[in-house]
Amino acid sequence: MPLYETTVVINSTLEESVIDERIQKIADLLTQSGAKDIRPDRRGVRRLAYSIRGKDGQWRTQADYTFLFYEAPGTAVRTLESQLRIDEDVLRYMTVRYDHEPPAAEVADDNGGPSVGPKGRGPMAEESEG
Amino acid sequence: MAKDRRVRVKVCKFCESKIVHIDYKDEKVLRRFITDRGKIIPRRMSGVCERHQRQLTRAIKRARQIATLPLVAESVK
Repeated sequence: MPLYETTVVINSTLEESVIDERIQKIADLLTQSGAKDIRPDRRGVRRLAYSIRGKDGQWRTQADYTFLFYEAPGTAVRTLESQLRIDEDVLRYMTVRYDHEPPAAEVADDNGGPSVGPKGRGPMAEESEG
Repeated sequence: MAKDRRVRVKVCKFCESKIVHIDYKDEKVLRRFITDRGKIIPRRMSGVCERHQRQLTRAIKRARQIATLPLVAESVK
């Protein structure tokens, strides 16, 4: 089964507990659809780079970000996305497919580090939009 | 021969720090490769290698979708 990562951008005017509940609901839905090894990563409220109009017609300048990493059949993604599409409080969602597990978060550091030639090396993680 | 011209060797920042995967969630890194307007900086200017530029472009475009990076800078709108 392929690996997926879904980003869910939720309206931050909701109560903290309500957002938690929503995320739990999303995770449950994924489990029901055959997903396993769900790893939610809640990043909390942050400023949006541009304002997004919610389904209630209000413009939002900040929102709550959650990333869900999981292994699931493609049908699970379809079920999840159809659910997110109709959810009033979801401002944005995006699913990305990974063919390989991405390496743990690396931080690009400009200072120091050995000088390497301009050509990249090592195998690249193959990705495609889900 | 013409005058000696110093050629500044540009080295890919990602290769330098041995980064294999450019993450679209890593806003801090991506911000360095966009202009004030929010455009992607061409690799002839940034010195990023071809392979990493491809990854970088994809990461920036994804970040724009989830509103972590701007489509156009606020001041330009």
